[in-house]
Amino acid sequence: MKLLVGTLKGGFIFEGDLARKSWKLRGPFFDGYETYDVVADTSSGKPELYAAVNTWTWGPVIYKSTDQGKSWKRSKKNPRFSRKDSGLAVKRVWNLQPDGEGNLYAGVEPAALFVSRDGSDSWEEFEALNYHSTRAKWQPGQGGLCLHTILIHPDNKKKIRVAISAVGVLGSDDAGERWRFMNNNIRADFNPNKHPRYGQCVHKIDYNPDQPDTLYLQNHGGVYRSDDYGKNWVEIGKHLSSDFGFPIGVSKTRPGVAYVVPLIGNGRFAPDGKFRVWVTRDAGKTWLPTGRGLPNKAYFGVLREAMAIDAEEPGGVYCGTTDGQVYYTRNEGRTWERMAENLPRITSLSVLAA
Amino acid sequence: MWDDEQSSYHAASASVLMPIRVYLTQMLVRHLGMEAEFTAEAGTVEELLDAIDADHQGFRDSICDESGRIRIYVNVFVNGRMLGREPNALSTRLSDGDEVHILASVAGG
Repeated sequence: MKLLVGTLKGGFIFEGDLARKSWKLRGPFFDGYETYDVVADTSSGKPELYAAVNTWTWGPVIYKSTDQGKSWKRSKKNPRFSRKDSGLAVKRVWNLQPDGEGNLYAGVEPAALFVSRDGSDSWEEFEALNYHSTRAKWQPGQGGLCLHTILIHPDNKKKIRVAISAVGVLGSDDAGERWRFMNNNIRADFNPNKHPRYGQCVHKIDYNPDQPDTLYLQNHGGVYRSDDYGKNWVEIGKHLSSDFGFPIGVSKTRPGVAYVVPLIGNGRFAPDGKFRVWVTRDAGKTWLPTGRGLPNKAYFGVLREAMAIDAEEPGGVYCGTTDGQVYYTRNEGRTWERMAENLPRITSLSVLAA
Repeated sequence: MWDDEQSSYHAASASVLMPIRVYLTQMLVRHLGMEAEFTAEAGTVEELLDAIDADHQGFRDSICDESGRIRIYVNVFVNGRMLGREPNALSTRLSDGDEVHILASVAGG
């Protein structure tokens, strides 16, 4: 098991033993540059790692490793807008998403979607989305106007869902030729119209690949579930200590199990400083806090990409904090342990099975 | 005569490739894995970036974004004079023996 870590000062890799008890740290990679996502593409049988490295000087760059992170190679071509007259320029790559068939999707700031079909040697853009007719009215969230979530339906790769802050969910069922907003019933509390067609500040969406039509969504206010791949949403987070938060993680082995980290909107830390990961085991009907091993006086948060779920039995959940700790459970939340501290602010976590 | 004049005019307006001495900050040298000092041939700054990019793919993209602007934390100097960030800054003409320094801004906190 490997835990791939993005931070504001480079990337790291934790190598764990089979019991997920002992972890060795490697890194930092990427010369200390801001790293927003590190992912593994296992579609070829041999893992290929990709990292979204946003250098503050030389622009955002994708790095690739074919030896499990021992060495990294800078991509010579990176996601870039093709229409010069648009005035758009990629500022950051926020999210990388392999589709399981050798294609790598990239979500960027300012909000746009790209795909590489050749291992990051070249990139194509989704023009119908990137130059959408409503684009001039898209508003940024506090982190910028970013496309931070990409879902590719495992049974039909033409069905793509993305989330943009603060635009909401957009979906395409024809491989990106046409897009429509999919914010039905998602609140925009900060808007005079609480249910606009677009303008929602969706923070993260996740699913279990075995139940790909069931999506779980953490919104700027509210937690939601969709049972029809984003067409309709129902609110499921009313009994949480706060319905504000960034990440949401869905169990890869148990249907109906999902995790969130409730935070207070101002301050971005847990209510009363009691850091808790809440779990639902019934698809959102009820939620319970888990906290055995988590601190009671803690004033950090967890960013949207900084929660990872493994597919082990029992399931593991990993949370990277804005203060550089990694907390994780090997038993679906019954107990938590601290894997690391004193890392830079953690921007992303993902797991690579052994 | 008219044809000759026209030919002459075009010759004057086309870039003539000149040897330019280039100096790069160590940050960029480390990022791209290239030498810190070298000579390249170009008639404008844009041609210089493209000429270097031909041998070191990703060079131009590291200096300018896709809208054609020099990146906000990159400073390009021609004989000690810093270029602006507007797209036409890349049209700046270069002459035989000019020195171009490419540096990163002092930034952070």
